[in-house]
Amino acid sequence: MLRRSLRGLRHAPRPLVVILIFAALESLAWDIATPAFQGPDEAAHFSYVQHLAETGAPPSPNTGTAPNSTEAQDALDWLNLTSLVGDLGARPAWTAADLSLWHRIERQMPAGSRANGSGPNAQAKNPPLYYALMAIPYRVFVWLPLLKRLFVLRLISSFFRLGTIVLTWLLAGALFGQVRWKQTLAAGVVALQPKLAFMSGVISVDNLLTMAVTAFLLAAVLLVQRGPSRGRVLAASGLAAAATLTQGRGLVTVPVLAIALAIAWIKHRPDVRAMVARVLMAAATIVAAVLVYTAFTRVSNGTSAFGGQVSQLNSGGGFNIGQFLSSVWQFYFTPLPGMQPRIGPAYGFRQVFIWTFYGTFGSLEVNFSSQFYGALQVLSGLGLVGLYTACALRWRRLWAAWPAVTVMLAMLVTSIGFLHYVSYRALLGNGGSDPLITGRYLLPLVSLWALAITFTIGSLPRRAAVVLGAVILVIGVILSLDAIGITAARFYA
Amino acid sequence: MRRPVLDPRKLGLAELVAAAAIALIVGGWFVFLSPHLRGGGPVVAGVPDPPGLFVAAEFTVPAHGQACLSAVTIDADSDLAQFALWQAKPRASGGPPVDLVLSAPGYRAIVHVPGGWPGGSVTLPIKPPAHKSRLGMACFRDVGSVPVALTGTTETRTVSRSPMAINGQGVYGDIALAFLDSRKRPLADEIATTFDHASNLTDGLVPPALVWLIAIVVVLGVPLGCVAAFYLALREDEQAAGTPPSG
Repeated sequence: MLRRSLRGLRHAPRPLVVILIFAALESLAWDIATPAFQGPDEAAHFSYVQHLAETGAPPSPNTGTAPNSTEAQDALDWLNLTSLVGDLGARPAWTAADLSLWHRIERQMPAGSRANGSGPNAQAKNPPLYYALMAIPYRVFVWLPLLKRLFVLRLISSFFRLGTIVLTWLLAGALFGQVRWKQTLAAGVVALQPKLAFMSGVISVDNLLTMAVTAFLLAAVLLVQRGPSRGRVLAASGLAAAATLTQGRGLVTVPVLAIALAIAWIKHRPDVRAMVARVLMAAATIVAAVLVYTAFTRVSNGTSAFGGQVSQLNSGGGFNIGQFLSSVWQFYFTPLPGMQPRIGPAYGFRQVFIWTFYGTFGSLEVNFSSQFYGALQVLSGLGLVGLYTACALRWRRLWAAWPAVTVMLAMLVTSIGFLHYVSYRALLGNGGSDPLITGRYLLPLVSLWALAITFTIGSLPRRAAVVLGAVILVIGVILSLDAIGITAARFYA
Repeated sequence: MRRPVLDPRKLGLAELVAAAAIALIVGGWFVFLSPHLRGGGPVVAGVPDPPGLFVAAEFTVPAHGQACLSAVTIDADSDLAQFALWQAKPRASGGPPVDLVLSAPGYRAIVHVPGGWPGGSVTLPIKPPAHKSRLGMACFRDVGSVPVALTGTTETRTVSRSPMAINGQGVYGDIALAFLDSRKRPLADEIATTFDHASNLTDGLVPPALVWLIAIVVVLGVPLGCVAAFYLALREDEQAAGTPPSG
């Protein structure tokens, strides 16, 4: 088995291996640069993993004795990690004297100090797949003291990002053929996406969600390209189920799965009875996953399934289609004459697609300079113009690849539409105080972003394309290193 | 015998792109990253009690009274203490004299703020503990005849671990206190201190020497790895297309 794995590694494309090595290095650097519990909602994600691993049950979203275990809460308090969250004026307790104090506290903890974080935990409405997977290494490394255990768990969680990179490589191969530089560009920009790299250094469900959605996208593309074999249908529906069981936002894969099945049927015209059987198989996979999760939630903590963004789907009364469309318009553009002002704070594409997609680390308080964000906005705008031009010039090629293109467009539109809808609903429900969505929620689409860049660059004459591709990777390197540097400086200098 | 000369005209696309990418990375490094490495004013040596994130609280210490924060780490690198004080009752003659007394086993330092100040943030020199950081107390003593107000926080999310008492009575919240290091030090020293802090937050799992090693490997390995991956990809494409690597 090991020999086969090693042989497989020897046959792995060398550019991909190199990308994975430097991506792993980045994740390691992020793990060090970000003190414990300083990722977005990291304490809550860790507490979910810990409670599940220690007791076999998830924490409750509404009730319980404490959101964090005594062990985690003591670390948050005694190492000044709670006051550090989001406060640029704060620093962790970072001296050797602080560490000695923490060791004394750790030694005096009573039995059961790891298992009493029963809730209320805001992340407890998430489905359990990520937490169940992370509970395995938690049990393996339970003998380590908390800070070391958390460090190791973060490293293990970063493997999901490496998986996303490999899957993007495979997607690029499926779409552009075995053109190595295109595969390298696509996988490289994913590896160098600073927000994704940052998230890989913390405990967060987003790591698995991004990988699951990317894997689903690959399976859906192969399904429409090669036809609806039983294996491909099972793979696509299984991965959609996995995304659904990872985070509520994974539900966006379900309509895309339906579209992929419809396209596969139109393009490959399989036997009707066989196709119906496969559609039923896909539906059964999804329904089974949702039923299992719903039953698990009812039994374990007596609440309804899914939370967070999904709970906004039907919350907040007063839905108005005109107001919703106006809200979406004003997210991107200045209001047209006669439009009512958008509800909520001044929050638009710049905040979601630029600032919090490329940047904002820690708990949103660590940022690139405004010049960086300005440059990224200009480059992203140029990229969009380039993409439009490439689509216009190569429409025949796109037309020929319509099944895969439609699947990718469906993924994009469904995801963005979902985010706009839940944001609007949330704003209705919370009186316009919190738009709920952030650029981190776009990370499951990171492979689409990388493929769009590769398609646009790949539409240029080869020499120019290769040079521009290299320039984009260089920009990624600079952003990546700068992000790690400013984060380390914010927390430790 | 003539030495071989590198002729750019004989380089293949892969080599040219790799060389240009390395040049761009080095240039980008200087333009974008080097500003972070330039030393500026004092650096933070420790923040036992940060200010509030959204709302500032004021704690009033009566005349001849004191407010004490315990479990305060006094960093051996500190040579300045920073806090904010205001007149509890504004007077033309300014605020009362205040002492900041730092104490820990084997260590004691007093910082005196003379009376007559208008109010605001003050940064004053302190004598740091010798050799190593210590856990101790920070007491603000009003040695004048009118009360003084000190800025801090009562926000749950920014209250730190230091319990506070005013005249011996426990009070929820913290007076904001930071220690700074104003000494001019070589960049390597500052980076070493930063890496020591990072290492401590991994509970020593990654010792400072390993943080150094990882930092060096990342700073060199990510750019070189990126260039190498792209170079290898171009070479593989050239080989697959049957074109000579240098042509």
